[in-house]
Amino acid sequence: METMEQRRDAIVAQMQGFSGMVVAFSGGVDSSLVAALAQEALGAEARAVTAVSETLGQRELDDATRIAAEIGIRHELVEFSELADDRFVENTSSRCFFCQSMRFDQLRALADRLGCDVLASGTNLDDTSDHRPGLEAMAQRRVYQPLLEHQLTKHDVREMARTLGLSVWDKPAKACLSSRIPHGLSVTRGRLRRIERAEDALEDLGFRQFRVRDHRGLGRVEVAPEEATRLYADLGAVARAVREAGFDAVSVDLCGYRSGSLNE
Amino acid sequence: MTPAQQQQIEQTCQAAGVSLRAMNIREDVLLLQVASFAELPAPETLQQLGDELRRRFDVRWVALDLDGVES
Repeated sequence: METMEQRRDAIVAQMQGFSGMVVAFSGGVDSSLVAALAQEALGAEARAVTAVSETLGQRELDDATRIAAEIGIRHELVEFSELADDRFVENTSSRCFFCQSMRFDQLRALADRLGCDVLASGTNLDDTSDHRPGLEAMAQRRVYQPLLEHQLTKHDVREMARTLGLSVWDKPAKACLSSRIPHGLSVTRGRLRRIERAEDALEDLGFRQFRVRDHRGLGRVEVAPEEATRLYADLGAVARAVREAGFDAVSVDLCGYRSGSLNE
Repeated sequence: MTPAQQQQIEQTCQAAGVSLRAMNIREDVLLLQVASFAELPAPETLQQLGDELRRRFDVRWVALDLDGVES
């Protein structure tokens, strides 16, 4: 059984075999760990690139910028519009495939311009247990997935990030804002922005692991079980915050936060 | 949802300590309107209630309607 340090050394050694790398960088713990390892392995030949689109909240972008600086990796932005593709807007169960196809095509083009031979993502082993058509888009584009290749689970990722001193080691998973909209209901700029406003407001109330799902104007709030006591003590503030964000009705899911609950 | 199912849901909620004043379904979400937000059971009980309602009545999501909570 390899220790965490041995696994880390193995990933860094593998990365040192590349001449340059672009890391698809959201500022979450997975891509931050890949970025930190890439920086260690390749120095200035490693770049963290954040794809900026309608489904990325401003706070997430700010976070990504801050974390890239913390890691010391060169950070670049590439802009694209998911809403320009009707197949994405339509929001079928293949939505993530179209989104990731666009995203990684943009990143690949930038990697080529920068002369980087490898495009990497922060996919980890746990990501393969859920319905994620985006993984197929990455596979088609031969995206390097070091955490998956070295069998790191989310728990392993957090542990390795913690030992590296990354401030995001315990950052809650966020996922893209369109994941709050049930399949079949179109993804629009208006829906994305009210979800972002509502989630920012709940974050300001002190909640950490939660989602605001958008059911055609009905906000359904999912909060992690460990924060449920606070939630039920603060229902008035939650209702006000979500309504002010633009929802016409607000509800609280009795079962709490579940990753991928819209796929249930 | 049939009147018989509604009655069963009400009884299930009552058994968990939740008194309903109404319920409805919007966009596949079963919305429970409670008689009093001040008299809700513990969060664990509410989670178990949600799981049970989803399982028994084949609904995708079960949520507490917050309409009126601020008044």
